[in-house]
Amino acid sequence: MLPTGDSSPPLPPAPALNKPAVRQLDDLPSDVLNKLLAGLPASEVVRTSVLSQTWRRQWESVPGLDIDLDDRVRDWEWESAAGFLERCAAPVRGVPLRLFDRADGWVRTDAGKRPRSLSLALPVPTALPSLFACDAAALAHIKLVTCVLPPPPPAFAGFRRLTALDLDYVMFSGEKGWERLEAMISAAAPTLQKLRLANIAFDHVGAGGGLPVPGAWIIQAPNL
Amino acid sequence: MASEKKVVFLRSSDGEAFEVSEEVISAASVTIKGMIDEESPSRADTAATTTLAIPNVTAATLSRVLHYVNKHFDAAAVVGRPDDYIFCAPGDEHPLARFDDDFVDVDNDTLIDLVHAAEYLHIKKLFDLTCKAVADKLKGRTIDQIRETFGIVNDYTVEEEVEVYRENSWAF
Repeated sequence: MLPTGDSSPPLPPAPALNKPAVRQLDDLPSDVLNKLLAGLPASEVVRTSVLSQTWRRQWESVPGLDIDLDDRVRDWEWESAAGFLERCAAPVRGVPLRLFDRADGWVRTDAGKRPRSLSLALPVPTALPSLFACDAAALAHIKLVTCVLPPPPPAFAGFRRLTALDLDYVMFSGEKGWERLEAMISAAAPTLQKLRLANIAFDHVGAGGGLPVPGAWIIQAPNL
Repeated sequence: MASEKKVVFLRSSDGEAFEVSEEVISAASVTIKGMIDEESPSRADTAATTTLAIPNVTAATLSRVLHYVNKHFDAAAVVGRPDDYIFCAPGDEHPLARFDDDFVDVDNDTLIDLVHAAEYLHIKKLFDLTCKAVADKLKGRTIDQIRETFGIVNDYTVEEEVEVYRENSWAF
Protein backbone atom coordinates (compact mmCIF):
# COMPACT_ATOMS: atom_id res chain seq x y z
CA MET A 1 0.00 0.00 0.00
CA LEU A 2 1.27 3.39 -0.90
CA PRO A 3 1.95 5.82 1.88
CA THR A 4 -0.69 8.45 2.16
CA GLY A 5 -1.25 11.59 4.16
CA ASP A 6 1.31 14.28 4.68
CA SER A 7 4.33 12.16 3.95
CA SER A 8 4.65 13.25 0.32
CA PRO A 9 6.70 16.42 0.12
CA PRO A 10 5.46 19.14 -2.16
CA LEU A 11 7.07 19.03 -5.55
CA PRO A 12 9.87 21.54 -5.90
CA PRO A 13 9.11 24.22 -8.43
CA ALA A 14 10.27 23.28 -11.88
CA PRO A 15 13.84 24.52 -12.23
CA ALA A 16 14.02 27.64 -14.30
CA LEU A 17 15.31 26.61 -17.67
CA ASN A 18 18.57 28.17 -18.48
CA LYS A 19 17.20 30.28 -21.26
CA PRO A 20 17.77 34.00 -21.50
CA ALA A 21 14.91 36.24 -20.53
CA VAL A 22 12.81 37.03 -23.57
CA ARG A 23 13.65 40.49 -24.72
CA GLN A 24 10.68 42.52 -25.64
CA LEU A 25 10.27 45.94 -27.02
CA ASP A 26 8.47 46.76 -23.79
CA ASP A 27 11.70 46.24 -21.86
CA LEU A 28 13.27 49.25 -23.51
CA PRO A 29 13.18 52.50 -21.57
CA SER A 30 10.43 54.85 -22.60
CA ASP A 31 12.77 57.39 -24.16
CA VAL A 32 14.33 54.67 -26.31
CA LEU A 33 10.89 53.59 -27.48
CA ASN A 34 10.19 57.19 -28.31
CA LYS A 35 13.26 57.34 -30.47
CA LEU A 36 12.19 54.18 -32.30
CA LEU A 37 8.69 55.48 -32.82
CA ALA A 38 9.79 58.92 -33.94
CA GLY A 39 10.90 57.37 -37.22
CA LEU A 40 7.38 56.29 -38.09
CA PRO A 41 4.45 58.23 -39.55
CA ALA A 42 2.21 59.69 -36.85
CA SER A 43 -0.72 57.44 -37.61
CA GLU A 44 1.43 54.33 -37.23
CA VAL A 45 2.79 55.66 -33.95
CA VAL A 46 -0.72 56.23 -32.64
CA ARG A 47 -1.81 52.78 -33.78
CA THR A 48 0.70 51.21 -31.37
CA SER A 49 -1.73 52.25 -28.63
CA VAL A 50 -3.74 49.06 -29.19
CA LEU A 51 -0.76 46.72 -28.80
CA SER A 52 -1.13 46.38 -25.04
CA GLN A 53 -1.72 48.37 -21.85
CA THR A 54 1.95 49.35 -21.76
CA TRP A 55 1.65 50.92 -25.16
CA ARG A 56 -1.58 52.79 -24.63
CA ARG A 57 0.02 56.11 -23.76
CA GLN A 58 3.50 55.57 -25.14
CA TRP A 59 2.83 57.56 -28.32
CA GLU A 60 1.90 60.66 -26.34
CA SER A 61 5.53 61.32 -25.44
CA VAL A 62 7.02 60.73 -28.89
CA PRO A 63 8.65 64.00 -29.91
CA GLY A 64 8.49 65.72 -33.25
CA LEU A 65 5.74 63.72 -34.89
CA ASP A 66 5.17 64.46 -38.53
CA ILE A 67 1.49 65.01 -38.67
CA ASP A 68 -0.47 65.07 -41.83
CA LEU A 69 -4.08 64.75 -40.87
CA ASP A 70 -5.22 66.18 -44.14
CA ASP A 71 -5.54 63.04 -46.14
CA ARG A 72 -6.57 60.74 -43.39
CA VAL A 73 -9.15 62.37 -41.28
CA ARG A 74 -12.77 62.05 -42.26
CA ASP A 75 -15.29 64.48 -40.86
CA TRP A 76 -16.62 62.18 -38.19
CA GLU A 77 -13.13 61.54 -36.87
CA TRP A 78 -12.25 65.07 -35.98
CA GLU A 79 -12.95 64.56 -32.30
CA SER A 80 -10.50 61.70 -32.25
CA ALA A 81 -7.91 63.64 -34.22
CA ALA A 82 -8.36 66.73 -32.08
CA GLY A 83 -7.83 64.61 -28.99
CA PHE A 84 -4.66 63.33 -30.57
CA LEU A 85 -3.34 66.83 -31.18
CA GLU A 86 -4.07 67.83 -27.63
CA ARG A 87 -2.34 64.83 -26.15
CA CYS A 88 0.72 64.36 -28.33
CA ALA A 89 4.07 65.58 -27.16
CA ALA A 90 5.54 68.90 -28.12
CA PRO A 91 6.62 69.85 -30.60
CA VAL A 92 4.79 68.54 -33.59
CA ARG A 93 6.39 69.40 -36.88
CA GLY A 94 3.37 70.59 -38.75
CA VAL A 95 -0.35 70.35 -38.86
CA PRO A 96 -1.79 70.80 -42.30
CA LEU A 97 -5.52 70.95 -42.16
CA ARG A 98 -8.40 71.69 -44.35
CA LEU A 99 -11.45 71.98 -42.22
CA PHE A 100 -11.86 75.69 -41.98
CA ASP A 101 -14.32 76.02 -39.12
CA ARG A 102 -11.98 74.22 -36.75
CA ALA A 103 -8.80 75.76 -38.08
CA ASP A 104 -8.33 78.53 -35.55
CA GLY A 105 -8.92 76.25 -32.59
CA TRP A 106 -6.49 73.73 -34.01
CA VAL A 107 -3.82 76.29 -34.58
CA ARG A 108 -4.28 77.40 -31.00
CA THR A 109 -3.91 73.82 -29.80
CA ASP A 110 -0.90 73.33 -31.99
CA ALA A 111 0.59 76.64 -30.88
CA GLY A 112 1.01 75.10 -27.44
CA LYS A 113 3.35 72.53 -28.99
CA ARG A 114 5.75 75.11 -30.37
CA PRO A 115 5.45 73.97 -33.97
CA ARG A 116 8.31 74.56 -36.37
CA SER A 117 6.05 74.80 -39.33
CA LEU A 118 2.49 75.66 -39.96
CA SER A 119 0.76 74.98 -43.19
CA LEU A 120 -2.90 75.64 -43.80
CA ALA A 121 -4.86 75.61 -46.99
CA LEU A 122 -8.45 76.44 -46.22
CA PRO A 123 -11.39 76.35 -48.58
CA VAL A 124 -12.91 79.67 -47.52
CA PRO A 125 -11.29 82.73 -45.94
CA THR A 126 -10.95 81.97 -42.26
CA ALA A 127 -9.74 84.22 -39.48
CA LEU A 128 -6.65 82.93 -37.67
CA PRO A 129 -5.99 85.10 -34.63
CA SER A 130 -4.34 82.10 -33.00
CA LEU A 131 -1.44 82.26 -35.46
CA PHE A 132 0.08 84.83 -33.14
CA ALA A 133 -0.08 82.38 -30.23
CA CYS A 134 2.59 80.26 -31.92
CA ASP A 135 6.02 80.58 -30.38
CA ALA A 136 7.92 83.01 -32.56
CA ALA A 137 11.20 81.51 -31.39
CA ALA A 138 10.26 78.13 -32.86
CA LEU A 139 8.16 78.82 -35.91
CA ALA A 140 10.29 78.70 -39.04
CA HIS A 141 7.83 78.00 -41.84
CA ILE A 142 4.46 79.54 -42.45
CA LYS A 143 2.34 78.63 -45.41
CA LEU A 144 -1.17 80.00 -45.46
CA VAL A 145 -3.69 79.76 -48.23
CA THR A 146 -7.04 81.50 -47.95
CA CYS A 147 -6.71 82.90 -44.46
CA VAL A 148 -7.58 86.14 -42.74
CA LEU A 149 -5.05 87.65 -40.36
CA PRO A 150 -6.47 90.11 -37.85
CA PRO A 151 -4.15 92.50 -36.02
CA PRO A 152 -1.81 90.66 -33.63
CA PRO A 153 -1.97 91.31 -29.89
CA PRO A 154 -0.04 94.43 -28.87
CA ALA A 155 2.75 92.43 -27.25
CA PHE A 156 3.44 90.37 -30.36
CA ALA A 157 6.97 91.11 -31.55
CA GLY A 158 6.89 89.34 -34.90
CA PHE A 159 8.02 85.94 -36.14
CA ARG A 160 11.74 86.52 -35.98
CA ARG A 161 12.89 83.03 -36.88
CA LEU A 162 11.00 82.52 -40.11
CA THR A 163 12.96 81.02 -42.96
CA ALA A 164 9.99 80.54 -45.26
CA LEU A 165 6.86 82.61 -45.60
CA ASP A 166 4.28 81.77 -48.20
CA LEU A 167 1.01 83.66 -48.22
CA ASP A 168 -1.58 83.12 -50.89
CA TYR A 169 -5.07 84.62 -50.78
CA VAL A 170 -4.34 86.07 -47.37
CA MET A 171 -6.28 89.05 -46.17
CA PHE A 172 -4.91 91.38 -43.53
CA SER A 173 -8.08 92.47 -41.81
CA GLY A 174 -8.47 95.54 -39.66
CA GLU A 175 -6.46 98.70 -39.65
CA LYS A 176 -3.03 99.20 -41.13
CA GLY A 177 -3.00 95.84 -42.87
CA TRP A 178 -0.25 96.91 -45.22
CA GLU A 179 2.00 98.05 -42.40
CA ARG A 180 1.44 94.77 -40.61
CA LEU A 181 2.48 92.78 -43.65
CA GLU A 182 5.57 94.95 -43.91
CA ALA A 183 6.29 94.46 -40.20
CA MET A 184 5.83 90.71 -40.53
CA ILE A 185 8.40 90.54 -43.28
CA SER A 186 10.90 92.91 -41.76
CA ALA A 187 10.78 91.04 -38.44
CA ALA A 188 11.71 87.87 -40.29
CA ALA A 189 14.06 89.50 -42.79
CA PRO A 190 17.38 88.45 -41.21
CA THR A 191 16.49 84.75 -41.38
CA LEU A 192 14.13 84.65 -44.31
CA GLN A 193 15.21 82.44 -47.22
CA LYS A 194 11.98 81.98 -49.08
CA LEU A 195 9.19 84.46 -49.55
CA ARG A 196 6.13 84.19 -51.70
CA LEU A 197 3.24 86.61 -51.58
CA ALA A 198 0.28 86.22 -53.85
CA ASN A 199 -3.23 87.60 -53.84
CA ILE A 200 -2.74 89.56 -50.64
CA ALA A 201 -5.71 91.68 -49.69
CA PHE A 202 -6.57 94.39 -47.20
CA ASP A 203 -10.08 95.11 -46.08
CA HIS A 204 -9.46 98.38 -44.34
CA VAL A 205 -8.41 101.37 -46.32
CA GLY A 206 -7.54 104.37 -44.18
CA ALA A 207 -9.23 107.73 -44.38
CA GLY A 208 -6.51 108.91 -46.72
CA GLY A 209 -7.68 106.25 -49.15
CA GLY A 210 -5.63 104.04 -51.38
CA LEU A 211 -2.78 101.66 -50.69
CA PRO A 212 0.89 102.49 -50.77
CA VAL A 213 2.52 101.64 -54.04
CA PRO A 214 4.11 98.21 -53.76
CA GLY A 215 6.78 99.12 -56.28
CA ALA A 216 8.43 101.38 -53.74
CA TRP A 217 8.89 98.60 -51.24
CA ILE A 218 12.37 97.33 -50.50
CA ILE A 219 12.76 94.07 -48.64
CA GLN A 220 16.14 93.78 -46.98
CA ALA A 221 16.60 90.09 -46.35
CA PRO A 222 20.21 88.99 -46.87
CA ASN A 223 19.42 85.27 -47.13
CA LEU A 224 16.51 85.54 -49.47
CA MET B 1 55.72 56.44 -31.64
CA ALA B 2 52.75 54.75 -30.10
CA SER B 3 54.49 51.41 -29.93
CA GLU B 4 52.59 50.22 -26.94
CA LYS B 5 48.86 50.23 -27.31
CA LYS B 6 46.86 50.41 -24.16
CA VAL B 7 44.11 47.92 -23.85
CA VAL B 8 41.29 47.44 -21.38
CA PHE B 9 39.24 44.38 -20.59
CA LEU B 10 35.47 44.50 -20.50
CA ARG B 11 33.76 41.88 -18.40
CA SER B 12 30.26 40.95 -19.55
CA SER B 13 27.37 40.26 -17.20
CA ASP B 14 28.02 36.54 -17.59
CA GLY B 15 31.68 36.91 -16.70
CA GLU B 16 33.47 36.78 -20.02
CA ALA B 17 36.29 39.27 -20.54
CA PHE B 18 36.95 40.97 -23.86
CA GLU B 19 40.08 42.85 -24.79
CA VAL B 20 39.73 46.11 -26.64
CA SER B 21 41.99 49.04 -27.43
CA GLU B 22 41.45 51.77 -24.90
CA GLU B 23 41.67 54.40 -27.59
CA VAL B 24 39.07 52.74 -29.78
CA ILE B 25 36.54 52.04 -27.06
CA SER B 26 36.98 55.53 -25.61
CA ALA B 27 36.18 57.03 -28.99
CA ALA B 28 33.12 54.82 -29.30
CA SER B 29 31.51 54.65 -25.89
CA VAL B 30 30.85 57.66 -23.73
CA THR B 31 30.04 55.37 -20.82
CA ILE B 32 33.28 53.42 -20.97
CA LYS B 33 35.33 56.54 -21.56
CA GLY B 34 33.84 57.86 -18.34
CA MET B 35 34.77 54.66 -16.52
CA ILE B 36 38.34 54.81 -17.84
CA ASP B 37 38.72 58.47 -16.89
CA GLU B 38 37.57 57.64 -13.40
CA GLU B 39 40.05 54.80 -13.12
CA SER B 40 42.98 56.75 -14.54
CA PRO B 41 44.48 58.32 -11.39
CA SER B 42 44.64 55.03 -9.53
CA ARG B 43 46.04 53.28 -12.55
CA ALA B 44 48.84 55.66 -13.49
CA ASP B 45 51.33 54.12 -11.09
CA THR B 46 50.55 50.53 -11.85
CA ALA B 47 51.20 48.41 -14.85
CA ALA B 48 48.11 46.28 -14.33
CA THR B 49 45.56 46.35 -17.08
CA THR B 50 42.12 47.56 -16.23
CA THR B 51 39.08 45.34 -16.26
CA LEU B 52 35.76 47.13 -16.38
CA ALA B 53 32.57 45.39 -15.41
CA ILE B 54 29.75 45.83 -17.90
CA PRO B 55 26.96 44.35 -15.82
CA ASN B 56 24.11 45.06 -18.22
CA VAL B 57 25.50 43.39 -21.33
CA THR B 58 25.91 39.69 -22.00
CA ALA B 59 28.97 38.19 -23.68
CA ALA B 60 27.01 37.43 -26.84
CA THR B 61 25.93 41.03 -27.17
CA LEU B 62 29.21 42.55 -26.03
CA SER B 63 31.17 40.64 -28.64
CA ARG B 64 28.83 41.96 -31.32
CA VAL B 65 29.16 45.48 -29.99
CA LEU B 66 32.96 45.25 -30.02
CA HIS B 67 32.88 43.90 -33.55
CA TYR B 68 30.96 47.01 -34.54
CA VAL B 69 33.18 49.31 -32.51
CA ASN B 70 36.38 47.92 -34.02
CA LYS B 71 34.95 48.31 -37.48
CA HIS B 72 33.72 51.86 -36.98
CA PHE B 73 36.09 53.45 -34.51
CA ASP B 74 39.50 51.89 -35.08
CA ALA B 75 41.43 54.72 -36.69
CA ALA B 76 44.26 52.34 -37.68
CA ALA B 77 41.86 50.18 -39.60
CA VAL B 78 40.47 53.25 -41.28
CA VAL B 79 43.86 54.68 -42.23
CA GLY B 80 44.85 51.26 -43.47
CA ARG B 81 42.41 51.52 -46.34
CA PRO B 82 42.03 55.16 -47.12
CA ASP B 83 40.82 54.56 -50.63
CA ASP B 84 37.59 53.00 -49.53
CA TYR B 85 36.93 55.09 -46.50
CA ILE B 86 38.24 58.60 -46.40
CA PHE B 87 38.20 59.25 -50.10
CA CYS B 88 34.82 57.94 -50.95
CA ALA B 89 33.14 60.48 -53.17
CA PRO B 90 29.97 62.21 -52.11
CA GLY B 91 27.02 60.15 -53.16
CA ASP B 92 28.98 56.93 -52.88
CA GLU B 93 27.52 54.41 -50.58
CA HIS B 94 29.33 54.60 -47.28
CA PRO B 95 31.83 51.72 -47.31
CA LEU B 96 30.50 50.49 -44.01
CA ALA B 97 26.87 50.64 -45.13
CA ARG B 98 26.98 47.01 -46.19
CA PHE B 99 28.60 46.07 -42.90
CA ASP B 100 25.90 47.97 -41.02
CA ASP B 101 23.11 46.31 -42.98
CA ASP B 102 24.50 42.87 -42.22
CA PHE B 103 25.16 43.84 -38.63
CA VAL B 104 21.51 44.54 -37.88
CA ASP B 105 20.23 41.64 -39.98
CA VAL B 106 19.70 39.54 -36.87
CA ASP B 107 16.79 38.12 -34.94
CA ASN B 108 14.65 40.48 -32.91
CA ASP B 109 15.95 39.47 -29.49
CA THR B 110 19.52 40.06 -30.58
CA LEU B 111 18.57 43.37 -32.12
CA ILE B 112 16.80 44.59 -29.00
CA ASP B 113 19.75 43.46 -26.87
CA LEU B 114 21.93 45.61 -29.12
CA VAL B 115 19.65 48.61 -28.64
CA HIS B 116 19.89 48.10 -24.87
CA ALA B 117 23.66 47.80 -25.03
CA ALA B 118 24.15 50.78 -27.33
CA GLU B 119 21.99 52.87 -25.06
CA TYR B 120 23.75 51.74 -21.88
CA LEU B 121 27.23 52.13 -23.36
CA HIS B 122 26.22 55.39 -25.01
CA ILE B 123 27.48 54.55 -28.50
CA LYS B 124 25.43 56.97 -30.52
CA LYS B 125 26.12 55.62 -34.01
CA LEU B 126 25.23 52.11 -32.95
CA PHE B 127 22.18 53.31 -31.06
CA ASP B 128 20.91 55.19 -34.11
CA LEU B 129 21.60 52.21 -36.36
CA THR B 130 19.83 49.69 -34.17
CA CYS B 131 16.90 51.98 -33.41
CA LYS B 132 16.37 52.51 -37.10
CA ALA B 133 16.51 48.77 -37.68
CA VAL B 134 13.80 48.20 -35.08
CA ALA B 135 11.72 51.05 -36.51
CA ASP B 136 11.99 49.40 -39.94
CA LYS B 137 10.54 46.25 -38.44
CA LEU B 138 7.60 48.25 -37.12
CA LYS B 139 6.99 50.32 -40.22
CA GLY B 140 3.99 49.37 -42.30
CA ARG B 141 3.14 46.39 -40.11
CA THR B 142 -0.27 45.59 -38.77
CA ILE B 143 -0.85 45.49 -35.04
CA ASP B 144 -1.04 41.70 -35.11
CA GLN B 145 2.23 41.48 -37.00
CA ILE B 146 3.96 43.75 -34.50
CA ARG B 147 2.60 41.74 -31.58
CA GLU B 148 3.84 38.55 -33.17
CA THR B 149 7.23 39.91 -34.21
CA PHE B 150 8.06 41.28 -30.79
CA GLY B 151 6.11 38.93 -28.56
CA ILE B 152 3.78 41.60 -27.23
CA VAL B 153 0.83 40.13 -25.38
CA ASN B 154 -2.50 41.88 -25.82
CA ASP B 155 -3.64 42.37 -22.23
CA TYR B 156 -6.63 44.56 -22.99
CA THR B 157 -10.13 43.44 -22.20
CA VAL B 158 -12.44 43.56 -25.19
CA GLU B 159 -14.09 46.70 -23.79
CA GLU B 160 -10.75 48.42 -23.26
CA GLU B 161 -9.55 47.55 -26.72
CA VAL B 162 -12.71 48.97 -28.27
CA GLU B 163 -12.21 52.13 -26.23
CA VAL B 164 -8.61 52.54 -27.40
CA TYR B 165 -9.66 52.07 -31.01
CA ARG B 166 -12.40 54.64 -30.58
CA GLU B 167 -10.05 57.11 -28.89
CA ASN B 168 -7.64 56.99 -31.82
CA SER B 169 -10.05 56.11 -34.60
CA TRP B 170 -8.53 58.56 -37.06
CA ALA B 171 -5.28 56.64 -37.14
CA PHE B 172 -6.83 53.33 -38.19
